[in-house]
Amino acid sequence: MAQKKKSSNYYYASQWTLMYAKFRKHKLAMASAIILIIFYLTAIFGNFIAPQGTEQFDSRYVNCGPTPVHFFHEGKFVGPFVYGLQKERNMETFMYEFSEKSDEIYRIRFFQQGQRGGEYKWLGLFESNLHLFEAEEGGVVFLIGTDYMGRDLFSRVVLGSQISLFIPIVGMILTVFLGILIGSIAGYFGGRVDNVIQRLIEVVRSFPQVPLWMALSAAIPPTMKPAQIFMLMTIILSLISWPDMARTVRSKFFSIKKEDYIMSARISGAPGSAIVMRHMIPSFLSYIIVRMSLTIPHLIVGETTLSFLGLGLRSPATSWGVLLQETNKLETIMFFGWKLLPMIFVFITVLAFNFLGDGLRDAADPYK
Amino acid sequence: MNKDNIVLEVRNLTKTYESGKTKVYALSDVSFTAREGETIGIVGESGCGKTTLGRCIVRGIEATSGEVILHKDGRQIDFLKATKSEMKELRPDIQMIFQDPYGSLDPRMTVYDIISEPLRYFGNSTKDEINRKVDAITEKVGLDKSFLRRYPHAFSGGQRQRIGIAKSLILNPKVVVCDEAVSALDVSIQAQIINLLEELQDELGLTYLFISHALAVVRHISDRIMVMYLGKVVEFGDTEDLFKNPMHPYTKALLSAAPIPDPDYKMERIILEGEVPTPVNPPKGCHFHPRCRYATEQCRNTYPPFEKRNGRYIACWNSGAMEAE
Repeated sequence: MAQKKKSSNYYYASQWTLMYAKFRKHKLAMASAIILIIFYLTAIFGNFIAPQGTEQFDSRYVNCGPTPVHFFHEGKFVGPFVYGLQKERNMETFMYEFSEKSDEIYRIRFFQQGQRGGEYKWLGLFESNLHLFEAEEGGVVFLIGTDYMGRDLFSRVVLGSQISLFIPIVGMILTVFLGILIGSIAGYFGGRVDNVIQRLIEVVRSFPQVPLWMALSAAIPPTMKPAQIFMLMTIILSLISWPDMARTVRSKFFSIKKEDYIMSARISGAPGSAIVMRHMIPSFLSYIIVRMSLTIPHLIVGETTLSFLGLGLRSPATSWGVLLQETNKLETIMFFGWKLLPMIFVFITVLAFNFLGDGLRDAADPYK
Repeated sequence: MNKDNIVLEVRNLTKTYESGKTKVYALSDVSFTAREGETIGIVGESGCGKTTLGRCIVRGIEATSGEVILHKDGRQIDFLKATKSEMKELRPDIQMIFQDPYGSLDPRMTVYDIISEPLRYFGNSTKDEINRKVDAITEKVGLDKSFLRRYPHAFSGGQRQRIGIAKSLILNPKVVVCDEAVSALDVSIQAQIINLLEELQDELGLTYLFISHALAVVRHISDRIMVMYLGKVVEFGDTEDLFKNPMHPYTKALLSAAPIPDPDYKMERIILEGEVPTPVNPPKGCHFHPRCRYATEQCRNTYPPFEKRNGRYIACWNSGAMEAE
C-alpha cells in the first residue's frame, strides 16, 4: 500500500518535486545547503552575533591568540567561561605573549547589552546594542584571536561575511543576466550574430585576469565607500565571468531547438515568444540554477584574491579578503598562526557551494 | 464526407539544404493530392525524404519552394504562404503525430497542459470549454480522466502516443501527418494505436498522410501508397493494386524485402546492388539507375517524367518494357 502511494505521488510529481527528491538523496549537497543557510543567517544577524562592532578595538589585546572557552573550573561545572589574561613580554623574542590566569573566572553571558562602540542598526532599521554573548566585565573572549590592532577576529569574520557572502550574489545575478541575455541572442538568432558573439567571448576570455583586475581596480577612486568599491569589484568580476554562462545558454538553445516537443508546439500554433517562455527557458532553468550556485564561489574567491593582493577593499572596511591581507607576511604566519583562521570560512563556503552545485547538477535533469 | 473531395494539394514541394557550395535536395518536386477521409501511405528507405515531406507539409520546417494548398469551404489557400491571419485560420486544419512518444511531449508539463496547449493559441475558449474539449478528446483516445494531472514520465510509450494523438486532434484538424506514428511502439501496442487511428478517422473524417517504413502496417491502413526514393516520388497508386503489381523497379525491390509470415513461402527477394546514392550529388538521369537492372542509356541521361500509366503515377522509362517481360 505504501509502495502504491509512493508511485502515484511520482505520477503527479512536477519537475521541481522530482528534482528536490533527487537532491535530498545527495547527502553532501544537503549538508552543504544547511551549512550555507547557517552562514547566511549568521551574516544577516551578524551585528548581533559578533561581540564587537567593526570599529571597536582594544590596544591592550593586540595580537592575542584565541581564548579557549572552558566549562569546568577545578573539576567543578560552572558553565561557559574564560580565564583572565596575563600579558608578559617574552625576553627572547621581545614580543608580548598572553597566558591564562587560572584564578580569574569571567563567565560568558548571553543576550547582553554590549560595550560602548558595539551599537548597530540591524538591517539599517532597528538601533540596538544587544549581542549574543560577551564575557563578564573585565574579561575578554576572542574565539579566534585578535589582529594587530586588538580587534576581535571572530567579529570581523562575521561582519566581513556580510560583504563577502552577499555581494557575490549581486555579481552572480549580473553574470547570469549577461550570460542568459547574450547566450540566448546567440542561440536564438544563430548564424552571423552567433559568430560575432562567439568571437567576442573568445576575446573576453583571452584577457589575462590579474593584470586586468589591477588595471580596473586602479580605476576605482579610493575615496569611494567600501560597499561601493566592493560593488564595482563585483561588476568587474562579472564582466569577466559571463562568457561561460553565455556559452552554456547558447548550446542549450541549440540542442533544445531540435527537440520534437518544440516542433510540436510550433505546429500547435505557438508563437515564438511562447516557445521560448513556455518550453525553452523552463527546460534549461535547472541548468541555470546549477551555474548560479557555481558562479558564487568563483566570485568569493575572486574577491578574496583581489583584497588579499591589496587591490580590493582596505581596512577598516572588512571582508574575508581584507582579513587575510595581514597574513601576506611570513612572520605573521609564524608568530600569529590564528590569523589564517578566516581562510577556513572562505574554504568551507566555497567547498559547500561546490558540493551544492554538484548535488543540483545531479538533480537538474530528473528524467534521465 | 465525400471521398472525392480534395482537401490537400501538394505541388512541386522542394526542400534543399545548402552549406557553402554543396546543395542537398532532401525533397525535390513532390506533387500529389489527398482526398477527404483517405489515408495515403508514404514509404521508402531511410533518408529518402519521407519525414522531410511530412514536416514541410505541416510547416514544422519551411520548404524551399512549392505549394501546399488547402481546400477549405470552396477556397484554395497556399498554406506555405499564408498570412498571419490566414495562418490563424488554417493552422488547426493540419496537424502532426510524432514518431517519438518520449521526445514529443514536454516533460515539464502535465498531460492536461500538453493536450490543452493548442487551444491556448486558437479561439477564445473559456476555461469551461477547454475542460470540456480536453475531457472529450481524452475519452476519445482512450485515456483515463485521472491521468490529466500526471506528467508524461508516468506513462508507457503507447499511452504517451495517445496523449500525442489527443494533442494533435484537439483542434479538429482535417489533415493529420502521422510521422512513423507507431514505429517506436511494440507490436501489440502498434495494433491498438492503428485501430484507434482508424476509428478516429471514421468518426472525424480525417485525412492521414501515414509515413512509415513498415510495409505491412502501411498496406493495412492506406488507401493509396506513395513510394519515395532520394527525395522524389517514384510511384503512386492504389494500395492493393500497387502491392500486387508494382511497376517501378524500386518498388518491386522494396516490396520483395518485406517478410511474409508464412514459413513455406519461398521469397524471391530482389537484392539491390550498391548503396543509396547521396542526395548531395545525385546521379545524372534517373536517380535509381545505378542500382537498376533494367537501366538503359536513356535512364542514365534524363530523369523520367512522373506520368499516369494504367491508373497509376510512375516515374520510369521502362515500366512498359518490364511488363512485357
